[in-house]
Amino acid sequence: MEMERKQFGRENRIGCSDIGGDDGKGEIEADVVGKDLSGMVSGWEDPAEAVPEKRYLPVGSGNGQLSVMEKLRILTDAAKYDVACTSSGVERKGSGKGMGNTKLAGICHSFSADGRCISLLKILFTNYCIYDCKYCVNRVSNDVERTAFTPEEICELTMNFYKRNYIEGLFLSSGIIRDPSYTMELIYTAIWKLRNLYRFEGYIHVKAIPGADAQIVYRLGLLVDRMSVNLELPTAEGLRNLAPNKSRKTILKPMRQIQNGIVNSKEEMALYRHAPQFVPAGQSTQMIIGATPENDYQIVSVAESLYQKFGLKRVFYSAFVRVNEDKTLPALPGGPPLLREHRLYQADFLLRYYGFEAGELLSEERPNFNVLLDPKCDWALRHLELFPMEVNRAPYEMLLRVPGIGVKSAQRIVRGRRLGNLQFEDLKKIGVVLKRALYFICCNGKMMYRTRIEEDYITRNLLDVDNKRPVLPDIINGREVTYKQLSLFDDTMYTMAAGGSQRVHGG
Amino acid sequence: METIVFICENNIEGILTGVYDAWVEALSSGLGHDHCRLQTELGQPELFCVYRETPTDPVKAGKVIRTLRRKLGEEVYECLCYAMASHEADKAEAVYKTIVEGLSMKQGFRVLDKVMNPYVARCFDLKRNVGGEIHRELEFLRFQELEGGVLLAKIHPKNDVLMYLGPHFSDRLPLENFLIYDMNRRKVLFHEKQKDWYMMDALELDAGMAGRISTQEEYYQDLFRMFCHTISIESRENRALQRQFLPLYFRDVMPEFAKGSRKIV
Repeated sequence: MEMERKQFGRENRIGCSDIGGDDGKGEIEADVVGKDLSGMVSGWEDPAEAVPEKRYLPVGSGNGQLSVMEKLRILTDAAKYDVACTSSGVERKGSGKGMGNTKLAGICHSFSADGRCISLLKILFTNYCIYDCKYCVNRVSNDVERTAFTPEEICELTMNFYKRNYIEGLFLSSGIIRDPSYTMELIYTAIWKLRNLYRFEGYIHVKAIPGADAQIVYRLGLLVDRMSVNLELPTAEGLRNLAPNKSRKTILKPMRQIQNGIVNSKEEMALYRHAPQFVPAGQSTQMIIGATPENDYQIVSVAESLYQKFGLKRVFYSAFVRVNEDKTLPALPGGPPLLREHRLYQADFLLRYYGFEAGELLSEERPNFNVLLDPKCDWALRHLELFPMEVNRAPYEMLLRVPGIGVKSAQRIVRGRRLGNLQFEDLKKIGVVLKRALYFICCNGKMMYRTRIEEDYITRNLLDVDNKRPVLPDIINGREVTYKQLSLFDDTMYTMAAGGSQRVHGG
Repeated sequence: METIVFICENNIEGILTGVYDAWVEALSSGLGHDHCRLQTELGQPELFCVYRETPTDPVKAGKVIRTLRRKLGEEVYECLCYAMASHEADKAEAVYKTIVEGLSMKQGFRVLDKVMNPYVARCFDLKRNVGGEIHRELEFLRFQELEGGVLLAKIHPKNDVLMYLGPHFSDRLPLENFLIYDMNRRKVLFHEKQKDWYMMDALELDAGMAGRISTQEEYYQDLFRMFCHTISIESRENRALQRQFLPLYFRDVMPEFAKGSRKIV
């Protein structure tokens, strides 16, 4: 192993990136053997030609010295920046002849110290990679320990973890070894063994590698539950800057292929009940937030068009973590832009479940989310003409737009009010967050407390998290005082929270 | 007017027998349902109450179940079963009065939407609480492999959820022999390879058998512990968030949180 590492690491650094792993993985066509990169720019289709084959480490051989424990540590560490760890989207009973089933809602089996769920065994097949994406911990120019699993090791780990109820399935991604098709073929071998020899019937999520042969992607799609292609960065321009050799086009191609595959498969299912299912849990993607200068409006618009045009199940956002020193990457003095990521997820749910459109939440003039208020409150405050809304009569679609009322609550309100008039205490039992909702709703013509429908007033009360009742404005000399307390610290809050948008470029 | 309190056994059959008896009493004595109450425990006796024990009767319970399924539908029946698995003391009363409400409605299958009725709202709460705990057991329950390949999981749920774990795990692990032991209620759920699962009261697990874990077990526990440790991103660490999703209460049976054998590489 040591010898091979040298060969790899020093001589050419074939190395890294991964399709799944870190925050994004872009892949620059790093050529091997220290050749200059320029010639490879357009050569993503067939990078293998540029390199003599023997330089590539044969996967599954020569790694004997590393224990499975070591390999798992290295390849988990290399995969941890990947976001999606969901096991939802498909309900499947076990056949009784193997091991495993899947649940529609998905199951999280543990939570790591960063509060993210552990649902799947999230690992890379290998962290060897021929690409050199600037933001990726596995890029070829990084000197990190490299290794690869054998298909059997992956199968054994998955089966034994699954049996003990540690995980819901496997999430397999990989660095690119030799070329995308070759890597994809290796992943296919592992998944095929897991499904057919080990008879694993649980959840499997794999990354489709842009540039891999469409045939392999199709065959793999018949074995797995979910596939994803990483969008890496929200805009084509960002991609050009941080992963110049990866183009939006090569990424969107497999995405479109998977989309078509899913649609065709559904049609076939309608005709033949036992037709093989292609990616039954749908496809997802992820992008890095805060590595490039896009604003929130651009990001949300991209997500919206992915949902509409590519029929994606989920778009994941990953706050940029600066793992590499590179002058093109922004410095993040306040840590990863977690609040920004959080706001994007909130907006994402508004798009998918609440009937909002990107243009309603943000606009060219207001391109970023309010750091203090969630997007729904923010929207409501800009549309006070619609409120207060009468809970006992408002249509379902409008109930969904009230801050403090979620999908479940709105459904229960609609069902409950058929049987009688709802009061505020009923809303509480239903699960409405009255602390937020009380400024926007009335029951039988009455609001909960004496409040005013006024933007500044409501904002102040919403921000006062400890307060469950509205504070009425001070009255001095018979006139209401509507000033805001000026705080020296306001500005710091903005800088810290805005993260990505107020980025300082380091070098 | 005095209230008649029926004391029934603390299980589905017992509670539904109680519902049957209370119903008969309410109608035959002319007291009405407002003056009948159902409890699983005697608790603190009150003045102006008459207490009656109702022995569990499968025939009566069966009748009630049939009526519930027919008039209120499978979905409501299932919710009521969840509510009856709760550890809360007022569950029998909530279920009884919810049934009264449901059978008085034209569209009984909508009874759980009637949040204005405090008993229905309570029933819904109980059901949500039990449903949540069932889901958390599906998430956080951990099997250990014993010598001979039998899998053993120990749980200590607040509510009586053991029987709701059977269908999930037997579908998931049809070729495994496994048992799930409820330490609080001393009940055990068995599943034998390619057979149906069943439950039994067990005073104590055979310590000798349960103590012998397979040679591989520790190895996989170490692997998983290392995996959980490595997968976390340091710059995002947020223990409070972790605690919110995974309360400390569950962690004692989870190998990734086990102290002692800390073989993290």
